[in-house]
Amino acid sequence: MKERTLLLVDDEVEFVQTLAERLQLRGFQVHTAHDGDEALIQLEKNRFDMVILDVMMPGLGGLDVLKQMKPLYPKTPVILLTGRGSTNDGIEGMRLGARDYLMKPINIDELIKKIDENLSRD
Amino acid sequence: MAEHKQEEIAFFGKITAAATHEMKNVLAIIKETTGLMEDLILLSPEMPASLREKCQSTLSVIQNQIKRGVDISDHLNWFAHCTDVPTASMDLSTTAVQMTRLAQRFAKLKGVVLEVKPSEAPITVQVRPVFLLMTLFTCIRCCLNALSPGSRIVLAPGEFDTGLAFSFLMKEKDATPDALFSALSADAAWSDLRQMAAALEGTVQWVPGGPSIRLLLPDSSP
Repeated sequence: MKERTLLLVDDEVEFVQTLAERLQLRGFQVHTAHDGDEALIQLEKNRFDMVILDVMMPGLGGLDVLKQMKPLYPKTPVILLTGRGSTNDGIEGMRLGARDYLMKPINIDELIKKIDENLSRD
Repeated sequence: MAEHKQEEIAFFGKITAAATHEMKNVLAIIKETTGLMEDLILLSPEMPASLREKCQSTLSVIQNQIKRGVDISDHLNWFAHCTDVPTASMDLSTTAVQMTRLAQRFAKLKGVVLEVKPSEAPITVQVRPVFLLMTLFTCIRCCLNALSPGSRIVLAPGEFDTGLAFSFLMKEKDATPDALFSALSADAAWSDLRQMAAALEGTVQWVPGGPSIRLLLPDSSP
């Protein structure tokens, strides 16, 4: 199977590093970004099969990144990670074009299942 | 000063809600880190079986506590957001479920089981959220003060013949309704509860047939 490349975006450095390592152990190639601006720079430089994007970040938040990237990279699917008590951010994100969302703390098997489901659609 | 009371409450809720969000991030990091340790153990065939089992069971304890932390954080976040506005439309079952979870520690310390029985259909009421929760907590406190360890309280919202209400069923082995009411009415919290119910434009009743406390609300469905 072709190796799949993910962009993982979250301002919590330890979370990103650890999740990236776990995804790499499962055969994914993973790039990381710690804020919205860095994410947009990464998107300019590389092609990604999927973006995993945290909603609440300082500066350019996940939903703002989504609004900016969608016109530029319409075929790049996005899964949002939200830590809020309600599902409003996830629902708003899907209205803006995200494919799906997960509440933190996430279950890695559930994340991979959603990645597989969305990539097999394309 | 009375005019700042709502602002004070909203401030408290805003800070608490933000802290619960931070807590979820902390729990997410711990969860991923323990997950990585589990992955690495699986990738280490040379590890002695007894050590592998010990590591896995220890990590399992951490994962269970993470779930517990997430649960507490979610309920506290809901509670914090109840301060957002002075009045709101509240679903009685959601409120009962959340209140039951938030009061669990108090019940546990008294050795009493606190359960909830949500209603089948949604029932909403326009009310002051924080004051309603304070009143529900006072009901629970009255029940806990009157009951012995080993007893049960069942919180059930619903539409009764007398109107919309929260019912607090008090189950204590060998306790008569008269004995329970005697304990209740001697408690200063019972007097507080009656005043709080009146401030909500409702009433509190003793239902010997339960036996239960019934907090009746004014029917103010939006």
